[in-house]
Amino acid sequence: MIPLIGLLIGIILGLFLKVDIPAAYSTYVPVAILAALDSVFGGFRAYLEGKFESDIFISGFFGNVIIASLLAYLGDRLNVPIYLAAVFVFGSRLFNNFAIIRRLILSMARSKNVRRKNDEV
Amino acid sequence: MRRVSSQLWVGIICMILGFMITYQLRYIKTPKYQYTTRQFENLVKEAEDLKKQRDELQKKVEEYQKRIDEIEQSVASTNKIASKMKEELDNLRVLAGLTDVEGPGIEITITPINDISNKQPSQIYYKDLIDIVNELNSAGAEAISINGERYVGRTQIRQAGLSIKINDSKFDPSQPFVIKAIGDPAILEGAFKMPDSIIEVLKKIGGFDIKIVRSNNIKISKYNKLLEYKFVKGSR
Repeated sequence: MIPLIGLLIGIILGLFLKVDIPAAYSTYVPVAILAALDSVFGGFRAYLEGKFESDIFISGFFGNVIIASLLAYLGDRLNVPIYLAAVFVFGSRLFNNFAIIRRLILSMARSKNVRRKNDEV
Repeated sequence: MRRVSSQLWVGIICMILGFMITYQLRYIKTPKYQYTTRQFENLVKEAEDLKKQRDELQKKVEEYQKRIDEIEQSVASTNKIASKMKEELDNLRVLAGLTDVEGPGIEITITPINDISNKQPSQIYYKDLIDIVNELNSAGAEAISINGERYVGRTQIRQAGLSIKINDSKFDPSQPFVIKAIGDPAILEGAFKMPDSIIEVLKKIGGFDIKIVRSNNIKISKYNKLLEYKFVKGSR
C-alpha cells in the first residue's frame, strides 16, 4: 500500500514540481530510470519469494542508479557508448525478473485454486 | 516497527522512481504538429495563391516601370535639360543596381553534396556567402548576384530559420548557390586561387562541388525589391 502511495506522490511531484535538472545531465536520467526499475522489479520478486530485505533493496536501488549514471557519464567522457552496457544488462534483468514474477504469481493462483477445489470436495 | 520503516523506505523509492519517470516523460515531450492535414492543405493553397499574387504584382511593377521609361523618354526628347537629367538618372540607376546589366565576369556554382558518398549532410553557411561577396567586391566586381538576387547596398545575407535570406527571398542552404559577378574575369577568379581564400577553405572542408566559370557575357538582373527610405533625410 505504502509503495503505491509513494509512486502516486512521485508522479504528482514530477507533474507539478518545476525542477530544472541541467540539460547536460538529462541524458543520464533514462539510464538511472532503467536501473531504478530493475531494482524495484527485483525487490518485488524477492518479496514474492519471501526473501525481501529492505536494506538490500535500498542499497541496491541507490547503488544501481549511481553506478548506471556514472557509467553513462564515463562513456560520454571516453566517447564510448558504455551506457549501452547498462541498458543491456538492466533490460535483460528486467525481463528475467518479470518472467519469474509471472511464474510465481501464476503458481500462487494455481495453488489457491487447488486448495479451493480440495475444500469443495 | 522495523516492518513499517522498511515499507516507508520502499514507498520513498517508489516515489523517486515515479518522479524520475514523469519528469523524463515531461522533458522529452515530442512536439505535436500544430496543424491538422486539412489545415496544412489550406495553408499550402494559401501560400500558392500568395505566390501567384506576388508574381502578378511583379508583372505590374514591370509594366509601370516601362511606362515610366516611356514618359521619361518622351520628356527627354522634347527638352535638352530633361535629356541631360534623364542620362544622369539612368547612370544612377545602373550604379544603384536597378537595371539589368551584362558584361565579362565569372560564375561560381557551389553545390552541396548530399548523396551516399558524403557521410555528413552538407549545407552552405551564410557567412561563406558573405565572405565570397566580400572577396568579389575587393577584387573589383561591379555587379554581383546570388541566385538571381542582385547584391546592392541594402542586401542582407543571413540565416532565417532553416533557410538563407537574401534580399528577403529565402533559399534552401542544401541547394546549389550560383554567384555571378561582373568584372575582370582574371582578377575575380584569381581572388579565389589564393591558398587561404574562402573557396579553397570550402574545398578543404569538403562536401561541396565548387565550379568557377569565366565568361564574357554574364547577365545579372536588377534589384527587384522596393528601395525606399523611411528615415533618411537628404541633405546637400
